[in-house]
Amino acid sequence: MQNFLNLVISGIVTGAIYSIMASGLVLTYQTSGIFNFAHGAIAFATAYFYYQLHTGQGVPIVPAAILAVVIFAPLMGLALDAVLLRRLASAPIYARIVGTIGLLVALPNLALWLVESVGDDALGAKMPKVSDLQSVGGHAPGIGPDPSHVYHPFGWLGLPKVHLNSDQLAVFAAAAIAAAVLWYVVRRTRAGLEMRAVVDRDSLAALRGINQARSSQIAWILTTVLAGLGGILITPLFQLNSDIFTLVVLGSLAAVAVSGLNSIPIAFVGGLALGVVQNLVAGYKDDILPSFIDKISGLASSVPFVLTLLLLFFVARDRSRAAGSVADTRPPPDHRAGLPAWRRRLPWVLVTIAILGFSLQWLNVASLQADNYEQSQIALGLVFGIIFLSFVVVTGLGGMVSLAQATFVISGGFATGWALNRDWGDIPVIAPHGQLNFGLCALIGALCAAVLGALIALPVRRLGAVALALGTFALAFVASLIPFDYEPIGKGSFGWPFSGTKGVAPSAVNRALPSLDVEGALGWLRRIVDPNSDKWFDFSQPRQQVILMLVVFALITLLLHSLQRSASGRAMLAARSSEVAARTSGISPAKAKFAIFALSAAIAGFGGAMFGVVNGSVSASSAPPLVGLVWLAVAVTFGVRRPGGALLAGLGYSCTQLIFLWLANDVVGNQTFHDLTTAVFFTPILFGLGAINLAKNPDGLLSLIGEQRAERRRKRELATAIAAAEAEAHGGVVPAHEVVHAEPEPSPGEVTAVEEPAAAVPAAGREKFALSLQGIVAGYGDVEVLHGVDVDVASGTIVAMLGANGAGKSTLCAVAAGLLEPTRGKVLVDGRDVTRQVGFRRAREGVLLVPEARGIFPGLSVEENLRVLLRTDDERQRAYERFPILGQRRRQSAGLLSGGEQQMLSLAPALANPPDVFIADEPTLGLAPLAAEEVVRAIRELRERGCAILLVEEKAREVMELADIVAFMELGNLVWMGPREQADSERLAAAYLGGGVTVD
Amino acid sequence: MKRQKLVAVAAVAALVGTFGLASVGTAGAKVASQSSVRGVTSTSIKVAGICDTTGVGAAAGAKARFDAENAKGGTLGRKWDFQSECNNDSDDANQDLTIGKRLVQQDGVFGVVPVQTPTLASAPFFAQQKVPFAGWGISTGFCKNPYAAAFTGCIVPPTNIKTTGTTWGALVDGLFKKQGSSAKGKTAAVITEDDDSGKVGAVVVGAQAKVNGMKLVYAKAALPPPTQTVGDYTPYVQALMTSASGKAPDVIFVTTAFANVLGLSGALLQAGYKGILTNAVAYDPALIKAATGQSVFTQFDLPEDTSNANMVQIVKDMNNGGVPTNKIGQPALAGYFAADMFIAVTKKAGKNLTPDSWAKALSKFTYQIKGVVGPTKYPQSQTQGAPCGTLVTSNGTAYEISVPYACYKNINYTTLKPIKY
Repeated sequence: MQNFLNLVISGIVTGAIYSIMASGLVLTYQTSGIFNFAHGAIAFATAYFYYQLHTGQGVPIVPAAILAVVIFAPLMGLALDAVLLRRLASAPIYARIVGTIGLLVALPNLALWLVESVGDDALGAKMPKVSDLQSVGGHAPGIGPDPSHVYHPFGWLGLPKVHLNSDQLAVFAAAAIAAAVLWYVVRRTRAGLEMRAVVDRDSLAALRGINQARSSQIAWILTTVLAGLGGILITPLFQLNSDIFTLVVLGSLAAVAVSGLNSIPIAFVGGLALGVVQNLVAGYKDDILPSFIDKISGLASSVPFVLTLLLLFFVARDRSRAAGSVADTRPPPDHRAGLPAWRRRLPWVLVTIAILGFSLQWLNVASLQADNYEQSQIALGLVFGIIFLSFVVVTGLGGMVSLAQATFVISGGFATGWALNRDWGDIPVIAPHGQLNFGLCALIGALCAAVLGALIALPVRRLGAVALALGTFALAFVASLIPFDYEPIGKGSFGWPFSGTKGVAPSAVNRALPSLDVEGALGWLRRIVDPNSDKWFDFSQPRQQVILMLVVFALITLLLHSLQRSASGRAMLAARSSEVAARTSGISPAKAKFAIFALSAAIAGFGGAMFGVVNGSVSASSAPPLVGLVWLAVAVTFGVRRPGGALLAGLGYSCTQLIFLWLANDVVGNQTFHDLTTAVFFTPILFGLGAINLAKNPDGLLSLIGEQRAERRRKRELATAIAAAEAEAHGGVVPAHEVVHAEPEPSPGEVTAVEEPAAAVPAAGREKFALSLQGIVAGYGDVEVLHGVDVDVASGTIVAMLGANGAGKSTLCAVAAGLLEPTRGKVLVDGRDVTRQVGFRRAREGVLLVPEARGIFPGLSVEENLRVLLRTDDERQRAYERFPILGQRRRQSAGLLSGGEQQMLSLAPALANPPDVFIADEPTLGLAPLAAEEVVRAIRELRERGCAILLVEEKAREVMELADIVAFMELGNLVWMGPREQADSERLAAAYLGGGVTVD
Repeated sequence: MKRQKLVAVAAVAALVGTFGLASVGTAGAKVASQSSVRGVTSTSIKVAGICDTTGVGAAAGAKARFDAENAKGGTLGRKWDFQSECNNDSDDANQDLTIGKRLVQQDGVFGVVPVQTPTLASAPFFAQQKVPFAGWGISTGFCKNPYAAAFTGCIVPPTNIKTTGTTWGALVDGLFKKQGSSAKGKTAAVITEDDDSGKVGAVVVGAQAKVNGMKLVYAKAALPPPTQTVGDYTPYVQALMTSASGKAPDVIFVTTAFANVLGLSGALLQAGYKGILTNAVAYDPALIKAATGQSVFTQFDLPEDTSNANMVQIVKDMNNGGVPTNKIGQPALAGYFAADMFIAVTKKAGKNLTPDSWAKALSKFTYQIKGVVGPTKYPQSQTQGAPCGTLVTSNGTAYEISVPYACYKNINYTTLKPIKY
C-alpha cells in the first residue's frame, strides 16, 4: 500500500509537468486553431534564457526566474504572435501545423546560435554553453536548491517512505498556481471571455467589438508563460536540451488527446492521470505482464504514445469532422500555369545537367569538379529528394501532414536489407547465386513500406489534419521504440548492411552494391555521362550513385506526373479540395486518402532502399522520429507541390552546410563568418524560418522566383480580356454601373474618368445621416460583388434592403459593419469617415450588426453572451427585463436555446444599450411566426429609441410594413431607393425577378 | 490503353529495369589511383577526430599527446597535423557518417583519432576506405575491423560474441574487501535501459556480479531508453530498494545513460540507499559534488593516483597542452590514450606508412601504459575488451581511489566460463 501510494503521489507530481504542457497546448489550439508543436521549443528557449541569467551571469534565482517567465516569455509570445500567427491565421490547416514545426526547428537553434555562436564565438562574450553541461550529464539547476532537498510530506499520515524533493515540489506548486491562474483568466476575466468568444465564433467576435488580434496576443502570452514556467521547472528534473523538452511535451500528448483538444481542465487532470499511469505501469508491469511480453523492449516507454494513438482514435475522431484534410483555402495559383511545356521543363533540364556536370567532372576546371565527398553528399541529397517526393504526394497532393515518413523510410530500408541479406537459392536472373536482384529488393522495401502506410492509414484516415499529424507522430515513436529496436528486425546499432556477403560483420571490406555489369549494352551511355569511370556502372562509387539517384528520381517523378493526370489522381485532388463534394461525385475520400498514404509510404520506403545504397546500411538511427519534423520543414521550404521542390529540398538538406563551408573558406575567408554560418545551429534556423514563412505557399521558395512575373502577366491578360468583352457587349460604351473595377485603387479619393451614377440622395449634406455608404465597390478576391452602391440611413428610420439571393445585400452589411473593406467608396458614421476602421472598433463605436443566422456565441452561456457587449450589471439587468426568458436561462449555454430565444439573445444587447446604427441581416429567417413577431417588435422599439436601422430581408411582405425607406438591389447595384409608399408591388416583383425596373 | 497508363507502366518497368540488368557482384572498391598515401607526406601525418557531445573533451587530451610527440620531433620524422577540435556527431548516425566521409574524402586524413562516440556509423566506411582509427572502444564499430584500434579493446562486441570482462564485479569485490568483507553472498542489482542493448547489458553486468560470488537479485532493463525521458524515478527506486527480499541490495550497478545515472543515483540516495552504488560514467572533476557517494568504474587509471609515475607524466603532458588538472575527466584521458595508441601503432608500422602497413602492425600488437591502461592485446581485442579498470568514489569534496587499477579476466557471459585473453 505504501508503495502504491508512493507511486501515485510521485506520479501526480510528474503528471503536473504534463498538465502544464497539455494546458498550454490546448489553450493555443483553442484560441488560434494552431496545434503548437513548438511548445517544447518555447519552453527550452525560456529555460535557456534562465540558465544564461542564473548560471551564466550569476543573477539570483528569484529575479532570474521573474525575468525569464514574466518578461522574456511574454515578449517571445508577442513576437511569435506577430511572426507566426498573422502569417498562418488564414492558412490551410496543414500549413499551420508546418508553421509550428518550423518554429520547433528554428527556435532552439536560434537561441543557441545567438548565445553560443554570436555571443560567445563571434563577440567573445563569455557565456556558458550547453555543451559544457555534458560533463555533468546535462544537469542544470532549476529554481530550487541545488542539489535538491528531500522532504517526507506524508510522514504524519504514516507514510514515511513517500518522499519528494524540492524540484518536484516546485513543479507541483507551480502547476497548481498555474492551473488556478489559468482558470481565473479564462473563466473570470474580460480577456478570457473574449478569448472564448473568438474561439466559439470568430466571425461574430469582431461584430461584438472584440479585438481578435489582441485576444490572440493574450492567448500566446499565456501559452508562452506556461511553456516557459514549465521549462524552468523541468530543467533540473531532466536536462537542458531542446530535444528532451520536445519529448516531454510529446509525452503530454495523451493528456491533450483525452481533452479532445478542447478542454483545459480535462487536459490538466489528464496530465496528472498520465503521470500516475506511467508510474503504475513502470512499477507493476513485471508483476502483471506475462514474461514473454515483458521481454519485448520499449513497451513501458511507449505507453504515452500508445495511449495517444488510442485516445486520438476514440476522442478526436468525431469532433474533428472533415476539418482536417480539407484544403479550406484555395491553393495559390500555380505561377507557371500557361507556360509552354518546354519552358516549364527547361530549368529542371538545366539543373540536371548542372548536377551531372559538377558531380562527374565534365569540365576540366578544378572549382567545377566535385570531389569524392561532394559527390557523396550530392548523391545523399538526391536520396533525400526521393524521400521528399513522398511529401509531394501526402502533403502536396493529399493536403495531409504525415510525421511518420521517417518510419516508412526505415521500414523500406529494413525490408530491402533483409531481402539483400537473405539466401534466395540460385534463381537465374532474379537471384543469381542466391542474391536477389537489387531492384527487386528495393521494390520489396517499397512494398513493405506501402503495406505499413496502408495499415496506418486504415485507422487514421478519418481523423482531422491535426489528429492525423499527432497520430502519425505517436506511431513513429512506437515504431522506433518497439519493432525497430528489436534485434532481428533492426539489426542493432549498425542495422542491415547493404552488402552481398552474408554473415560478415558490417565492417567487412567486401560490399556489393548494384552495378550495371554490361559493357556491351550500356557502355556507350556510360562513356558519355561519365567518361572517367571504370568498366561498368558501379553504384558503390559516389559519382555513379549520383547517376543512379537522378534516374530513380526522374522515374518516380514521371510516375507521379502520370498519376496526377490519371482518373485516380484527379479523385485524390477532388477529395482534398472538398470531401463533401467529392463524395457526391461518387469519390470515396477515405479511399483516396488511403491510396495517397500508401503511395507516399511506398516512395519513402524506396527512398529508404536508396539511402542504404549511399550509406552502406540502414539502421533505426538512420531516421529517428524527430528527424521527420526537420524533413517536413525542409520539404515545405522548397515547396511540396512539385517534384522539383523535393529535388532542391533534398540537395539543400544535405549540401547547405557544405555550401556555407565553401563560402566561408574559399569565398569570404572571414573567421567570424565561418563561425556563424558553419555552426551546427545555423542551417536548422534557415530551414525552420523557411518553413514558417513559406508554409502557406505550396511552391515554397520556388514561388518567390516565378510568382511576381506570373502576377504581372495575369493582370495584363485580365485587363485585356475585360476590355475586349465590354467593348463587344456595349459597342464601346460602358454604362457606369457595369464598370468592373478590376484594379483596386490605392487612394479611394482619386478622380476617375468613369461617370458616377446619380445618387438617390444628393451628395451634399449626407454627413447628417447616421450611416452613409457612398459609392461602395467591394468583393472577395477577384470577384467584385458591389459595383458602386450608395445608401444612407438616418437616425430613427428603418431602411429595408430587398433583393434576390446573390444581389449583394450581405456583402453590403459586411462593408457597413467593417468586416470587409471596400476597394472604393466611403463609409460614414455620424459624418465620420470610418472606411478604414476595422470591425471591432466600429462595433465599439455604435455600429451593431446582427448577422444572418443569429448573432450569438453558442458555446458561451446566456450571461456570458450578454457580457461580451454589455459590460455593466445594469445593462444586463435591462436586457433580462426586456426578455425575461433569457433571465431564466442565464446559466444555460446559448447553443441550447430555441431559435426564437437565440434571436432574442442576439437583439438583447441592442435593446439594453441602443447603438447608433443597427444592421440586421435577415433577422426573421427560420423563425416561427410568433418569434418573428417578437423580433419585429424589437426592431420597431429600436427605431423609436433613435437607432438608424439597416434591415436586410428576402421576405418582402413583413418588411414593407416595417420600413420607412425601401431599397432594391440587383446584381451588386442599387436599382431603386425611395419611401415605402412609392415602392409598389411591381417594383417588388421586378426586384426579385430581375430587370424591368425603371430608375426614378 | 490510355497514354497515362502506358507511361506509368513504362516507368515501373524502367525502375525495375535499371537494376534488371544488374548483377550484384563485388564491385571491388576502387581506390583512386593516388601517387601518395592519403594524409601522409614525408614530414607530416594528418589526423582528426570524431566525438559525440559528451566526448568533445577528448580533443584536448589527444592534442596534448600529439603536442608532446611533436615537441620530441614527431614520429619517425613526421609531425602530427591534428585538428584541435573534435568533430561532434551529436550522437546522430547520419551526422557521424557525413563527418567520416568529409574527413576522408575531402580533408584527406590518414587516420581518425580520437574516436569517442557510441554512434560510430562511419566504422564500415572506414573499413571499406582503409582508414585507420583509434579511440575508446565504446562502439561495436571497433570490433572485427582491421583498421580499428581501441585502447580498451572491443568492449561492445556484436551480440553473437558473448564475451565480457569480470572487471566491474571484481572491483566491487575489492571495495567490499576494503570494507572488511567480500562480495561473496552479497546481494546485487543491475538496472539498465529498456532497449535491446540494455537487455544485453543487464545480462552482461549480471554475469560480472555472479562470477564474483554475488547473488543477483535484480537484473532488468527497466528505465526508458535514452531517446525517451524519465521524469520520475520512484518506480525504479522502489523496485530496487525492495529487490533483496523486500530489502535494499548490497550493491546496485547503474548501467544507463549519463543523465539517468545521475538522476537515478540521486533518487536512490534520497530514498536512503546505504549500499555500494556504482556506475561507469560519473567521473569528472565537475561532478565531484553531484556524484557524492557513487563509486565509478573507469577502464583506466586516474590522476588521483599520484603514486604512478606514468600517470604523473600524463598529467604533466596535459597541463603543458593546456588542460589544467581540474579539467581532466574521462574524455580528456581517453583522447590522450587514443592518440598514444595511434602513435604507438604508427611507430610499429615503420617509415613506410600506409593504411595497410598500419593495419598489419596492429594485427599483432599489445598496447599498454604500465599501471594506467592496458595491456590491450591484438588480435584478441578485435572481439574482446581488456579486462582492466579502477574504482573511484566521490566523497563530496574529492574523488578517492577505492580500488587501484588492475586487470582481471574475460568470461562468456552466458556460461560464465573463462575465455582466454
